Amino acid sequence: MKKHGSKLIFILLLAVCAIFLFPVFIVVMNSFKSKFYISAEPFKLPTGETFAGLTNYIDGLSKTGFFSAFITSLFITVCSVGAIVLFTSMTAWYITRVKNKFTKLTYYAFVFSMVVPFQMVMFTMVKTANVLGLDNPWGLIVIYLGFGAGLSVFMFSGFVKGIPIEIEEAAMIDGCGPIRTFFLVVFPLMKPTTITVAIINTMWIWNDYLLPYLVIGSDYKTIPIAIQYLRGGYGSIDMGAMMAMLVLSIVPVVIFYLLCQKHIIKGVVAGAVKG
Amino acid sequence: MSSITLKGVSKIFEDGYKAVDSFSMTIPDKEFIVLVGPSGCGKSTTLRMIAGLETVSEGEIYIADRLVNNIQPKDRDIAMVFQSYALYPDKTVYKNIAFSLERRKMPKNEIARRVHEAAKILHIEHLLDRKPKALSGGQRQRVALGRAIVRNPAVFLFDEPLSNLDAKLRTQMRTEIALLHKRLGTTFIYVTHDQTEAMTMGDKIVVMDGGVVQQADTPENLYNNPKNAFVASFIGSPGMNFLEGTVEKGKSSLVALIGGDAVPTKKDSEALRSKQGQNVKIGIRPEDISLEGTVAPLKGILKVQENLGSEAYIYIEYQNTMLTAKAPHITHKQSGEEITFYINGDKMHFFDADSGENLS
Ligand SMILES: Nc1ncnc2c1ncn2[C@@H]1O[C@H](COP(=O)(O)OP(=O)(O)OP(=O)(O)O)[C@@H](O)[C@H]1O
Ligand SMILES: [Mg+2]
Repeated sequence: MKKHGSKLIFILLLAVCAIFLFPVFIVVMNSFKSKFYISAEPFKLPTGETFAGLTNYIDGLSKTGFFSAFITSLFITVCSVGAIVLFTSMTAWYITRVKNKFTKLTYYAFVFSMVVPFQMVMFTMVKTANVLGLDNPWGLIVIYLGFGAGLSVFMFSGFVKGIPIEIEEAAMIDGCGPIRTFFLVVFPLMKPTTITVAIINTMWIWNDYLLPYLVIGSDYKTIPIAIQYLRGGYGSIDMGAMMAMLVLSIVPVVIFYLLCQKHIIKGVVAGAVKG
Repeated sequence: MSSITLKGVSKIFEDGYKAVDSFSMTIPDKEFIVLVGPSGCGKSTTLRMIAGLETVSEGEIYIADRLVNNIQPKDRDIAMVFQSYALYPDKTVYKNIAFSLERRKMPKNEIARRVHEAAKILHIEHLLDRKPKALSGGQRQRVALGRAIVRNPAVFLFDEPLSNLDAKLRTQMRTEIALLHKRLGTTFIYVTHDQTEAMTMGDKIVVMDGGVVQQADTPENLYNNPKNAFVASFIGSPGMNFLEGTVEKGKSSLVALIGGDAVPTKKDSEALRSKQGQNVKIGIRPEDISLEGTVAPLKGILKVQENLGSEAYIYIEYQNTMLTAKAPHITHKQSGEEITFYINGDKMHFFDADSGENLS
C-alpha cells in the first residue's frame, strides 16, 4: 500500500521535473541549431541540415564580449553575496540576542522590506543611487545588500533563535568577546543557513537584469545585459547566439548549486524545525 | 587565593522583578558551596551574576579580593558547567576542551598536554575525536567538566549539572565531582534544587527561597538546627512533619500540647518560654517518630506502609495530619487500624506560627 503510494509520488515528481526542465532543454537544444531555424521550428531536434555545431557559441562570445561581462557579473555576485552573508548574519544575531525597542523595530523593518516590490521603488532608488554616487559596481553591491537583506536577516534570525544561548555564554566564559563569540562559535553553527542564503541570493543576483541595467547599464555590462545587446535594431535578434549565451550564463549557477546542494536541503529542514 | 565575597548583591530584572535580594556571604578559598532551593528562588541568577552573565543591580562581588562587577566573564578566571552542557556542537570533543586554551594563545603542545590530562581524569580519552552529538548524556557531561577543568580557573561554577542524567549516573557523577573538588583544591559553587545532592556534596549549603538566603550552614547544622520552618521542611527526605500545638510549663520541663496529648521536651529557650500558651508550629523528623517507646504514647490511624528493604516509611494519620515515620521494618498491622506511636520530644523543633522562626 505504502509502496504503491510512493511510486505514484515518484512518477508525479518525475513529471513535474520534466515540465520544469523542458524550457532549459529547449534552450540548450536550440543553441546548437543554425539561427535561422530556431524561430521557424523551435521544438525540433537539430538534424544534419539545421545543426550548427559551436558556431552560435563562437558568434555569441565575440558579439557580446562575454568574458568581460562574465567578470563583471562574477565580481558583483560574489561581492554582493559575500556582503549579504557577512552583514545579515551579524545583524540577525544582534537583533535576535539584544532585545530592545530598536532591535524589534529593525527586525520588522527587514521583514517589511521583503514585501516591497522592486518596481515600486525602482526609479527613486536609481535617482538616489545617482545622487549618492553609487552608480558603479561597488555601489551596486551596496544596493544588492539592501535588497537582499530582508529575506536573509529573516532566515538567519530564525536560525539564531534555535541556537541555545548557553553555547554563547560558554564561549564568553571560555574567553571570547562578542566578535569572537560570533565568528568562532555562532557563525560556524549557521553553516546550513549561510549556504541557503548564499544560493538564494546568488541565483537572484546573477540573473538580475533590471537593477544593473538601470544603475550601471551604460558603463558596465553584466551577462544578462550583454545578452540583451544581441537584439539588433528593428527587432532583429540573433537567436542562435542568444541561446548559446543563455546556456553559458546558466552553467556557473548550476555548478554552484550542485556543490552546495547537499547543504541547502539540510538548511531548509533546519530552518523549518527550529522556526 | 580565590575566595569570593558577595556584599548585599541584588538582582532586579528589567520587568522590576527582584530575583535575588541582598545576598551577602564570603566563600573561603577551596570550599565547596552548594546553593539550594525550590525552582525560581534565584539560585541560577546568583550564580550567573558571579559568572558575569548577568549584571549586578545592587551590591558588590569580589573574586580573590578583586571587584568584578564590571569585569567581563572571560576575565573573571572562572569556569562554568551548564545544565544543558552547552558544548559547541560543530567542534570535536578535543576542540571543545581546547577552545578556552586556544583563546589564551597557549602553545599547541601545552594545550595537547592539558587536554589529554583532563580527558584522562574524566575517562574520555577515547572520545576526543567525536562530535558532541555522537556522545551519551553522561559522556557529554564529562566533556563539559573537561572543558572547565583544563583551564585551572580560580572558581568553578555548576548550574544543576546532573539534572539531565538518570538516577544511577547522577549518584556516580556526584561522587566524581566531590572527588574532583578534593583533587583540584579549587573553590566550587554548585547550584541544585535537589536537597540530597546538596547534603551529600557541600561543605556548606546555602538555602534560598524567594531570592533571600534563608540559612547558610554546614549540612549537619541545617538538618539539626534549621533556622526556620522553610529550611526545616526543605532539608531532609522524607520531609519534616509539622503539627499545630502549644507549649506549656510542665512538672520538670516544658511540655508540647498537641490536641489533647502532651509530649514533654527538654528543648528550652527564652523565645520558646515567651510563646507559652500561644500557637506554635511543631516540627518532627520522621526518624524521631517511632513505634516503640515508653513516654507519652500517641494514637493514630495507620494509612500506608512503604518497605524500602533496609528501612520502612510508615504513614500515620494523627489529628487530621499525615505523619511520616521512619522505622526499621513494617508492622503486621493492617492499614486503617489504630496504631500507637511515640514522638521523641527532645528532638522536636518549635517554630513561630506566623514568621516560621525557630524558637528552640
Ligand atoms: N530575564 C529575566 N527577566 C525577568 N525575570 C527573570 C529573568 N530570569 C529569571 N527571572 C526570574 O527570576 C527568578 C529566579 O530565577 P532563577 O533562574 O535564578 O531561578 P532558579 O533558582 O535557578 O530556579 P530553577 O531551579 O528552576 O533553575 C524566577 O522567578 C524567574 O522567573
Ligand atoms: Mg536555575
